Amino acid sequence: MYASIFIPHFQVQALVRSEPELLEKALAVVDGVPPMLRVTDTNMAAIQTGVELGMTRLKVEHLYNVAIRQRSSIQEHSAHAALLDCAKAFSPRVEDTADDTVAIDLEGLDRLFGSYQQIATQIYDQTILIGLNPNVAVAANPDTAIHASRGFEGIVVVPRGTEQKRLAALPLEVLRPEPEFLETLQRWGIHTFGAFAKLPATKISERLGQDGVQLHKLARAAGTRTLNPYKESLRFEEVLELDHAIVNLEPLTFVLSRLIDQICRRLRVRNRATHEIHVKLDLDKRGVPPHERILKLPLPVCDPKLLVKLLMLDLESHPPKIAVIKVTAEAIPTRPRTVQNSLFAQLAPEPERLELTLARIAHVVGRENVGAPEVSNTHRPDMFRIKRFANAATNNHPVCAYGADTPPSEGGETSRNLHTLTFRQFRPALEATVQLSDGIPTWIAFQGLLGSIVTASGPWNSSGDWWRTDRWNREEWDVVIESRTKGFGMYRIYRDCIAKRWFAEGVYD
Amino acid sequence: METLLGGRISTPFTDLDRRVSETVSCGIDAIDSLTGGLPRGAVTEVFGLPSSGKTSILLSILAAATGRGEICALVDGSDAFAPECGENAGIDLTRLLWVRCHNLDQTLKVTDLLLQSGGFGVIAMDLSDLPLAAIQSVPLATWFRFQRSIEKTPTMLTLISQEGVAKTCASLALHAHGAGFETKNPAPSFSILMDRLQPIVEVVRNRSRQFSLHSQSHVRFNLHSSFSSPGTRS
Repeated sequence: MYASIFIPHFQVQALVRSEPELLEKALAVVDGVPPMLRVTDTNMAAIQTGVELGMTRLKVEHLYNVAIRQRSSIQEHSAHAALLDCAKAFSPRVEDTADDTVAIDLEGLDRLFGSYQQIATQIYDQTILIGLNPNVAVAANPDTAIHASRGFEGIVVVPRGTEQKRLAALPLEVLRPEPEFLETLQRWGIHTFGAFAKLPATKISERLGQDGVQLHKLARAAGTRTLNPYKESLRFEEVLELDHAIVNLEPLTFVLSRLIDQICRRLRVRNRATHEIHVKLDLDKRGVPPHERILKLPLPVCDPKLLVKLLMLDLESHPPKIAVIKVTAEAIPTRPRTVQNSLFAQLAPEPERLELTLARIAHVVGRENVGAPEVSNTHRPDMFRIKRFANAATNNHPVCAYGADTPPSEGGETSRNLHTLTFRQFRPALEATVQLSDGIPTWIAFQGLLGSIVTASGPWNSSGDWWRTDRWNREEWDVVIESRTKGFGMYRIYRDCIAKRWFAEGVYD
Repeated sequence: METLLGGRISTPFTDLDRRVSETVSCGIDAIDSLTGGLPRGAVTEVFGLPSSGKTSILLSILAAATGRGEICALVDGSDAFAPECGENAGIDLTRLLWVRCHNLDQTLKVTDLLLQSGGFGVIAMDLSDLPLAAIQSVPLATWFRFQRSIEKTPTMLTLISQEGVAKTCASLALHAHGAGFETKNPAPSFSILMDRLQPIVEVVRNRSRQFSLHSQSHVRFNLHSSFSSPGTRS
């Protein structure tokens, strides 16, 4: 058995999907070369108002309360991609029949999803979820399913053997023949599948050729073709072209929210999440390259609110310089995260929440100032790098739950009582004025402190990277400084032998 | 009422502070024995002048927490943390989120965000090198808000500064004094300057009932130098 999903008024529905506020309005979609723009699709509300296909835009503008939109191939492409995702959620064998139609092979799915009626209902619900209002039909061959979905509203299951009878009342337009072909048949007084099917095949062949025979076969629901499976590319991209350019970031939140929401729905339908989002903002000035941002996540996410917040924080830090006229969002799919939490694992920040917190902190202090420190493998002083902070709790070693105090595992009592003195770094090092006596520092002054040096130890010479322009060569001293305000303090000072200047590097604390 | 309810509801009118008695080690036995450990869901403050040992105590707290497998955060008010020292102190750097701030405003904002995020074992605030006047001008309501946001959670907020700033919001306040340096050679020389530092830690405030009645009010412990010995400097 095969199912077909057909989206009636596809051009209208594709636009309504991106602008849900149009749902309740009479809408006419126009296309063509200005000023000869003509109506190419309408919804039922517009038809009741008097809009007809082929009407000029000028005529439609005279009708009361009809919204007019230019046909958007971008929105139609997004809606079509969403439709394919929806079909792929049920079966790997999906035919990309037309922009508004897909056919699905249901072989073996009854064991997963229940009866064909239940499958059709689930397909219908899933399509509603991605923002499209479909007709769904199930039949024994793909063509019958396609025609039934195009001809009947809602959900239809055509039992095997009753196809011809069931399709008999459908108008010939459902077959989508060539216009001159349809005109010929209508001149003969043939308007329905049933009437066409009653004509003898040999006579059809004589008068209409092989194309006519093929259509006759379809009208008799006697198609025997196999499904032509569509090869998926797994691209989750949504685009929105704006009528008016956006200058501020705040309205962009709503646009991004809509796009990301649609992407997340599609990801969910395909049981996927994303770890990378690409956002492209086309700017309202010719010749200016688009503003592109890439949001990389350390874990797969499918939460639209979280993604929008992260994107907005990123855009606040790196805003576009010119007004935005088109927004494109693409999610790189990946398998969703599956976690088996341990009863005895330590409590740790929720990864999604942590990611949002890190983005907010990065917005306050800068991305380069947040992360997990890593000591660099060099002798150059104060060398480290900041890695992206990932929740290390995912590879928890088994420790007891909160509250139970565990002794250090290594070293025992000896190392527990051996605490090292810590050094506080001055970044950058503070330039100092130093007085020497016999080459030994005896007095020092630097920002916030001056006093005599009570004790000094040194010099500890070190140098490195002589082959580089930023080579270093220094003479370090550990000194105890007695100042009137702060009493005794132990500091590390050094003389830069290249610049021949003294610096205070930090304090032991 | 308490008598009437007695037996059915345990300690219905006991102050929350007194019920929260869960404590963990700070990594230094001497301080643990003096204070009974650091209270969870509360603010702990360590203050003292430069070279008083307060940073060493903070790193010891972080080392103990990461050793227990907890995720910790260090809000570094003046970008003074030396990762190499952290590693020497025993901190698992992969479990430490280091935020390098450059003023008090950033420090408070970041701390607020981390506290709201939840799930951290220790959130450490280093206010040591920030202007004292600015720190003192932080409204008490801010510290109360911080305290309230970790109440009933396992998170500990630990802050170090040159003077006590959290005041009544701190469940445990420790004052570190530098007790002088034990040097091998008092005169300038090419030798080890300092063998060890012996800070004195005095309990200024402790909400733990058991330990607030403790007769001992201060303790001395050793901090060994790993920098002033030849061969370990570079």
